[in-house]
Amino acid sequence: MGNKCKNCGVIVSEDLKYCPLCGKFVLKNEKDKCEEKGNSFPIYDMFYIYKEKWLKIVRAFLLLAVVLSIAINAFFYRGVLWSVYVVIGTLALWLVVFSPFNEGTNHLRRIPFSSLVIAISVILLDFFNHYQFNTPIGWGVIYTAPFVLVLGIVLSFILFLVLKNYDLNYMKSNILIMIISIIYFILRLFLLTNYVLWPTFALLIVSVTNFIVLMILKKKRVIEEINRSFHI
Amino acid sequence: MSDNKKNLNINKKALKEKNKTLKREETRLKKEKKVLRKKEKQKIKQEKKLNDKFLAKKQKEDKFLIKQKIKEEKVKKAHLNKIAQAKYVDWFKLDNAATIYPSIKDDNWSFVVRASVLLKEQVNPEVLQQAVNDTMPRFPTFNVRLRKGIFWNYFEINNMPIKVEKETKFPCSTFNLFNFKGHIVRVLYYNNRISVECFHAISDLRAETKFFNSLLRRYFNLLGANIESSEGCLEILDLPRKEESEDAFFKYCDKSKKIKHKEEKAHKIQGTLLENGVVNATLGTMSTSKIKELAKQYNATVGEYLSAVVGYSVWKLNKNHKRPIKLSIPVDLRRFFPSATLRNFSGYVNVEIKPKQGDYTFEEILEIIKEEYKRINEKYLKGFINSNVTIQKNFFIKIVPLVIKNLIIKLCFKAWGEAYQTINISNIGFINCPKEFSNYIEKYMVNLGRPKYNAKTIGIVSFDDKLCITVSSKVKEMNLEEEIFKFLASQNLEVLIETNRRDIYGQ
Repeated sequence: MGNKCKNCGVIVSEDLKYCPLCGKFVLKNEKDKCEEKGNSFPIYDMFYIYKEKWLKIVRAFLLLAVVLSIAINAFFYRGVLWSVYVVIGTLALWLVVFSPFNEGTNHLRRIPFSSLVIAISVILLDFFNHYQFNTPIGWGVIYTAPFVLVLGIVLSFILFLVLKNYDLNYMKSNILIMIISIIYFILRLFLLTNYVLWPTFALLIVSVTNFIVLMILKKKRVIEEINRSFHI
Repeated sequence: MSDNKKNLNINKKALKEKNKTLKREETRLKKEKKVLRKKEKQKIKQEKKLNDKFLAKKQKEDKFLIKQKIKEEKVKKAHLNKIAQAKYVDWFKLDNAATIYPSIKDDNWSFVVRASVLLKEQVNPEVLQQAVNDTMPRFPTFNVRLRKGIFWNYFEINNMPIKVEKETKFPCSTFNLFNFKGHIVRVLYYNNRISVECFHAISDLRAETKFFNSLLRRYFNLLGANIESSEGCLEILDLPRKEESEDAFFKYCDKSKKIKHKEEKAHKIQGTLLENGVVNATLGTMSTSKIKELAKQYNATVGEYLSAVVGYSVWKLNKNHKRPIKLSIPVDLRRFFPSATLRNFSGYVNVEIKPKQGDYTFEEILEIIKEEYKRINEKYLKGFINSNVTIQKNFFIKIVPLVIKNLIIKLCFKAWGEAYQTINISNIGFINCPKEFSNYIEKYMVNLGRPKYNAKTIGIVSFDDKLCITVSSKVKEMNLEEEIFKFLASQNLEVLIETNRRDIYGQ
């Protein structure tokens, strides 16, 4: 049945050499071996424990890079706030690349969210360039952000058609992108009126069309999804 | 000469006669042989006929049995499909107790509870997989994925099959909660052990054991056992009932008195932290009847006696600390408020031992615990339910976005959640299951996994004449385990010790 531990008075399972309570050697002879039994636990695979550890190290490293860049930029300031680029870039890198690993989700399923993160980062960088170097607003706000969002919508739509059950995450984030694109278009109508409007308009058309197609294909599911998401 | 001739003639005659008799005998023997051969042939023919008849009969019977079994299986499968397609719910809200669990999870910790059995024979994974496939549709509240809403999380029915896995990770390892494929239940096997681990937001240990028993019953039946009794299980062919998925907290809350906690923070057991995700589980198995006798000597129940053993051991190791030692003891509310719910429906009571007030004997601690157990009545528990539900019912809390709610809940849990507990002792008691289980099962075990802020948790369960205490620890030091099991061994109990760390103690 097992070997008695003289120190604790308990019987130690046959598959153990040492008493787990006090660490005393419980086998009769030094050369005796204990073998795996029906009641034995597995010897655990520690890889997943280390994976978590590595992700923590990456997170800490990124955080350290951000803090250091802000500190160096502040101490040796020469008229350029370059640390802002590091902060925005690092945050986007974390949210788009590392965060899915951390949460155990799939990168493909996060395409709409990732496109949104990239679009916001690009807009921030564009405005910051304008503020710092007085460059004309354009490449980010006018072109890149809408195109990235359009690309996100198109890619996720293709995946929605190809992959089974992709709609779960797709619907919610695309409805969100549609709302954002409407707000974006309205803002562009009144702000930055000197610049071309067609990329923002294209985004609006694509996102609304996408929503209409969704409603035609899965009207019931979309309404259900909205009901579930907004339940109080 | 003539005499000689005569003699020769006589000899010739004799020879002839002998030859004749020999020939006769030969022919007789030949005849006999022929008859025997005929008889043998007839016998063989008859045997063949009989055999053929018997085989034909057997084949017929076998065919009939196979047909019947196929028919039964078809009926069962059709029934299970009906249950699966019944879609009596597509999604449902988290119950009152469950709302906090998704918010307090972190990268490598979530509140997972585990029930296991040690079988008398090695587990058959294929049959176990079949049993899981057959059982899951009957338990829609376990067959879910967790999803984020704008204001609250919610459960959505997940029709993807659960894959039975070989155990490779530490007990109660975390779930990727919002993983798309993700079930938040896993069925594991290793050697003779089958375990079910589930995220605490789905159900409490009591309901989990009901699910587990139903799964085991199906598993044994698929292996050829004939377990007809459904004690402590649910019949998998029945349709799920609505009461099983109700939020019983809401059912039993009213506007009567709430309980207000004004407690001192509890003492925390100190130690060297193990790496994130690692948990040391120490199992002690002993005789239930002997423990009962011991408890009887002190006029106490088994639960009270074991809580006192833990309390006494914790006090002995932490005599010099100022803060009170608090044992958090979960209470199954179904005992007081009838409910068939398979979701969370448990409260808890905190038992306080104050080291400030001087030394205690074991008997004194047992008396304190007995007094606290008396506090557990319908009125007290109603107050507990009311105070919990009122917060969730508040409109202003309802409309706070989930992102902010998560942050607030996390902070509150850090400040108050486990701050009033030193150790959690979950005693399931004697497991209610079909009697035939004792032919196949050696013992039951429950494990509460790695606690978030506390150092250790304890799970107790009893089956047949085996009571199993599992101490899960996130610190390296094993002195509490040593104290508890040494105390029990000193009471003339035979305590068998096992551990999940065979990598340390077995190699």
